[in-house]
Amino acid sequence: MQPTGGIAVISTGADAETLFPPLVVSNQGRAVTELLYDKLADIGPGLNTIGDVGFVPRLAKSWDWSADSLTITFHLDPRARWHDGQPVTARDVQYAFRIWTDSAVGAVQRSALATVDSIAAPDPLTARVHFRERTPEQFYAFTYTLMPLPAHLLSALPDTALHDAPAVRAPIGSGPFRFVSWTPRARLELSANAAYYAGRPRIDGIVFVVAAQGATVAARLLAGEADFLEQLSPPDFAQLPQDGAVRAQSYGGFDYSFVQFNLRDARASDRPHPIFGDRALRRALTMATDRATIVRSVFDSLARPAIGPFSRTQWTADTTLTGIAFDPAGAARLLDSLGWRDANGRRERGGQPLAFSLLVPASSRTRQAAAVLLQAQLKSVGVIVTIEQADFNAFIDRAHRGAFDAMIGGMRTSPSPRGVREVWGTPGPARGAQNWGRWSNATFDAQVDSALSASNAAAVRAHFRVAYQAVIDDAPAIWLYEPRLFAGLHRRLTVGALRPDAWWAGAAHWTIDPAQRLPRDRRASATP
Amino acid sequence: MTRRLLARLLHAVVVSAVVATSVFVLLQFAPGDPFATALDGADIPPGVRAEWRARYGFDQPPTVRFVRWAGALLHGQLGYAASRHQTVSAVVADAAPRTILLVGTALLVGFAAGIVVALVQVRFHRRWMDRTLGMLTLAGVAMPEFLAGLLAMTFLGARWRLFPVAGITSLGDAAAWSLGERALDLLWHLALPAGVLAVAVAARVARHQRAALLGVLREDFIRTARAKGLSEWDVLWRHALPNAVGPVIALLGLALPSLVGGAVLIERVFGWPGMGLTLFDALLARDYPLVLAAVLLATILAVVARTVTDAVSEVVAPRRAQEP
Repeated sequence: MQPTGGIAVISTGADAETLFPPLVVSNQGRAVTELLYDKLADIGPGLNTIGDVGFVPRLAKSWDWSADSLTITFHLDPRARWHDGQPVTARDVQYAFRIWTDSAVGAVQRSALATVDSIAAPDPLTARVHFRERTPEQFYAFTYTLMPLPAHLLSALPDTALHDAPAVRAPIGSGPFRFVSWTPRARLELSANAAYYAGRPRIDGIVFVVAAQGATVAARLLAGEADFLEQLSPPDFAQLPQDGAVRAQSYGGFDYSFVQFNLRDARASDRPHPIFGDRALRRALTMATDRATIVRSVFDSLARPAIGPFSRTQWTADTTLTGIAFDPAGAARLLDSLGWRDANGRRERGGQPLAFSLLVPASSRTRQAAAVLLQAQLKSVGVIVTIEQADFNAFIDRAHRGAFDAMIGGMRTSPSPRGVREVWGTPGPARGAQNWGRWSNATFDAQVDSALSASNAAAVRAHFRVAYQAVIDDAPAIWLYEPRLFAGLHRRLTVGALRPDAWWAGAAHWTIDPAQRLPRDRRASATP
Repeated sequence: MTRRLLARLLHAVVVSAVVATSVFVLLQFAPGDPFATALDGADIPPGVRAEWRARYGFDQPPTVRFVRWAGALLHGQLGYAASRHQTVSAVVADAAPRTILLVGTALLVGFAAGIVVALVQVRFHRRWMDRTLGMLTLAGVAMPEFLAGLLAMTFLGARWRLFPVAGITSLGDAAAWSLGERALDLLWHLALPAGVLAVAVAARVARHQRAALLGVLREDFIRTARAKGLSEWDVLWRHALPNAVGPVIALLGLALPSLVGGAVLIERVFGWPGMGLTLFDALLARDYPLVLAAVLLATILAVVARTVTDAVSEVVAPRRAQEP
């Protein structure tokens, strides 16, 4: 494979918060660190998370399972090198595991490694991972989370000093791109790793240019100052030039948004919510909501109505589930039967109006627009909705405290369906940490538990199907929309298929048309 | 003069302490902390949030945090910016010079341009040039800097491509550039953000300077200068301006805080990674130590600027110093 050269400039609205993989939280931080550091194995294009089906070798050229599945032995690629030329060894895997699980470091994804007991290094190229228990996703959880770290550079530092150590801010990685420079909130430059064991990237480097203002992020791409934008917003599409200099490329997304009902009283959580505690009423509100119109009005064709508590990109997604159809007449009848009678365009029961507040983050124009449309739709069946806007921090704070009637929430899922347990599971120590509406359903909990312990994909799907149907039928939320992601690309850049969970995953194979080189493609640090 | 300077210094310390305390108290009423939003995800256990809160002292009552913060400040430590995984001092050392460059350039260019505009307006008093420039300066005062920035970015940057849309330097082989080329590149990137801020400064300065000049032109010594046969430009430049510029210099000291405020928005529009952008990000991230440091810095800057402009205006227009 011949390198084509050129520097891909990526316009982004956010900067990496750190270049130290265990501390990374944001998507932008993931993008940069996963270009700098390699994993032992990477998830395949099918995004399967059960067993190791579809996983592709990275630093580990192969792996073996023990008969009881409690040990996985990774055989490291002897060609793999750190960017300073030192070989990647099993000690680096051991060290990374220690750092990831040290509470003094505070790695955010530590819980993903909870089932790993220890890692042995019988020789420099063999890392033997011992698990405490077998789980269907143990391979995914381990390899998707942990990236070997350069023990020869970092192990001399105290773990608590790793947050801002110079070696962390100018990292030596093992991935396809090397660190060049970082001006926080402005620019981060990477160059092709000519010694990369899997072959030198075809482009000479990647530069992330950061702008805080959304309009500026898009303007850079439209002005030809950048080659790639992770996500075009609906207004950006209207500005795409007619000459085809910039094009949109679709790739799946992992987000879904919903109107979440608070099932407990916002003022006294030991009481059910005076309105939303009633399942039939929640179903009536769902029936009165024309989600297709909301999606079309807010996103045009850039989103689809959501089906349930998942995104279609997840492998457990089920598009054959039975949703609650839009039926305003049926909703009115149902409300009548529940005693909520229409009085001059407003429904009341026992003197109590059918009214609630809808919390939306002020930072999201799409959620605000959806809230206004929902308000109008529910008004047509006599339900009064008051829209409350809150700064995003206040929004999250109120969500965590359960201080809301209803809210338009958004969730970013991952290839694993495991997160659904935290978001929709019954609140408690084992689940439901993010279940802001405090919905509880024993069938859902049991089916999700069964799904997450099932060992074959068909069984997992079957259990999730029942769980998803239970949550849809119980209507703790109105499933609003799933945005479809479109990256913006300058015509000189070719990226192939973009992976929905990590658009940067194939960056080593991106190419820039030699006939469309620009002065900015010249850089001394770009190695041949 | 020395006594006045010492009094100003004491004043600066008191003002800074009051502002810092007020901001700290206000921040306690804002919902959230650096970890509520940043560590909000279905796959992040609540225990991790608690650990991070404990590490950075957010598990302590506000009074304890304030005493710790103030104590550290007295030892020259500004704390740790959790959202940046860096000490606050390191963040400030990186970002503050860029804001000083941006605001300093805007102030100098805006002041000079404002003086020139005022001189032209007075020279052509009540003629079409005066009226046209008067309307333009009124527009400059009225136009919000944020909007002016977006317009400049959209048309001069994205559409006509005369200037870069955002950033501080060009991409490319910077290592091979000469010092002059780098300076020119920096100026090219500085043009839009500093230009937008400078227009606002120039408009204010021009309006005040014009009024001050017109007042001075009625003085006896101006009549004497004209009687000596000096040209009108000489009268304006050599006699009227030195006597009318003092109040405008003092005005700059007062205008600096609003200029710094404008820089917060302009840095955001143009992706200029200075203290304004840092403050904006820190507020969104609820990174309180960083917010406090930025506010403290802005306060000190405003007080120092006021002191300096007072001193300069006394030197430039000594007559004012003799006034009661």
